[in-house]
Amino acid sequence: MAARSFRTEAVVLRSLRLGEADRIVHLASLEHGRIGAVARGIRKTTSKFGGRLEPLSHVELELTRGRGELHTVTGVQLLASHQRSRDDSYRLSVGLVGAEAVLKLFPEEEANQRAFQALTRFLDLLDDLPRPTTADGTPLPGDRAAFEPLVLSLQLKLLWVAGYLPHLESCAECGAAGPLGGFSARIGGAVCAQHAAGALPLSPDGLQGMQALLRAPLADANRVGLTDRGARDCHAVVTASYEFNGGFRLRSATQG
Amino acid sequence: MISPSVDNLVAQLTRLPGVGTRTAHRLAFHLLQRSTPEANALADAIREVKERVRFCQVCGNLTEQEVCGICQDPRRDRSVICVVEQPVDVVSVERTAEYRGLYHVLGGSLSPLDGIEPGDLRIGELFQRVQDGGVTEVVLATNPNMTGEATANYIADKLRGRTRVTRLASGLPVGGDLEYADEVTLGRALLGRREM
Repeated sequence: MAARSFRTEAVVLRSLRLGEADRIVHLASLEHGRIGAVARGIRKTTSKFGGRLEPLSHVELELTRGRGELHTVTGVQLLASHQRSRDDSYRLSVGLVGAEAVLKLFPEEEANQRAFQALTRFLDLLDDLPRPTTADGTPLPGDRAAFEPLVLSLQLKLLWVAGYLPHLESCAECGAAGPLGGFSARIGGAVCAQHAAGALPLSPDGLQGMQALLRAPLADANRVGLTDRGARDCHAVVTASYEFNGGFRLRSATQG
Repeated sequence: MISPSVDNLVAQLTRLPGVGTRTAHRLAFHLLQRSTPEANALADAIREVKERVRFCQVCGNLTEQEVCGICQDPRRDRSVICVVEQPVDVVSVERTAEYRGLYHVLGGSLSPLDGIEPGDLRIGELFQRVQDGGVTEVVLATNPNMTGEATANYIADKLRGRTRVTRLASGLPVGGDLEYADEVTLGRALLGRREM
């Protein structure tokens, strides 16, 4: 029989109010995958958990197994608060897209260390992510967060480790080297003009941008030269992959 | 188990926050032991509150009139608006006896993951109050958690350049010991330190 109490490293993906002073936290954990836990009394100013279990926090948790699906949080140690990401509306919007992607792509209580490491690396980079501006230095609105190269790169890598990586090197239907002008989630990748019926249009910028994002580490996502059109195509491909393979859409990526 | 009406009362009481089945049973038996007028007084109070209480047309607080007592009070400072998430937060701020301005109750906080967008809250009404003129400061008193901060950031962005926008300070609870403070709260207290 598994021990009732256990420790694990985790990232808080989401937090929901429960009862008068409690919260349910949805977590991506290193050893146990996606888990849910109740943090009792966390909303009281006297709570021993304090601000350690806010979404995007990277923590070391002590949990007690419950009788149902939810565990109970009995101890929290902060590894990285990522408060800088929460304090900036653009970074927060980007962070929530990444958190929701993990939340929905990995619903099972099944460890996926590569996904967890990608998420923690993403959050570390997010703390220093500059807000995109126009040529005259005016900050662009937060609703552009879904097109941020860092979060697009994370989502492509998450699709990869989840086993849904779109095939982008040749036509996913016939194997032709090119030219590739569409994307079909049903076929599982980019398609040539012959097999593009019903597929999403895919520009050369979008195709090259996704290939570059997949090759580059997360830290270099903003240096691959992703164009505005490329980012939109990449977002459309990721969204189509979620819808076809998981039957969901990210709410955080459709705000604004 | 005892009678359908007792079971129904227990079931209704269980829907209250913080009331489990055992507490609901205890409350139900307590009500059964009280006199009929006493029990009816409770039922009437619940009925009355649901029939009479509504949202203030100006600030969104709870009231029995069209406009709440705070908005009508001529002694309040009408140039300052304190923005809170829920009517219960007005009670908390009023308890401090430190604030003499008006309020604006949003009715919640922005939460992209739950699909709560600006249009779902009374944010447009707040901007309209500022637009109408006479407001020199908006105090953002949303909860110091992710959704509360996101809401405060959104409102501050939209009001920038139109009026002074301030945020409640974050820090250590009075009477507590530093050694028990969590890292996030203590970190924010350090960031928000003031000259003495």
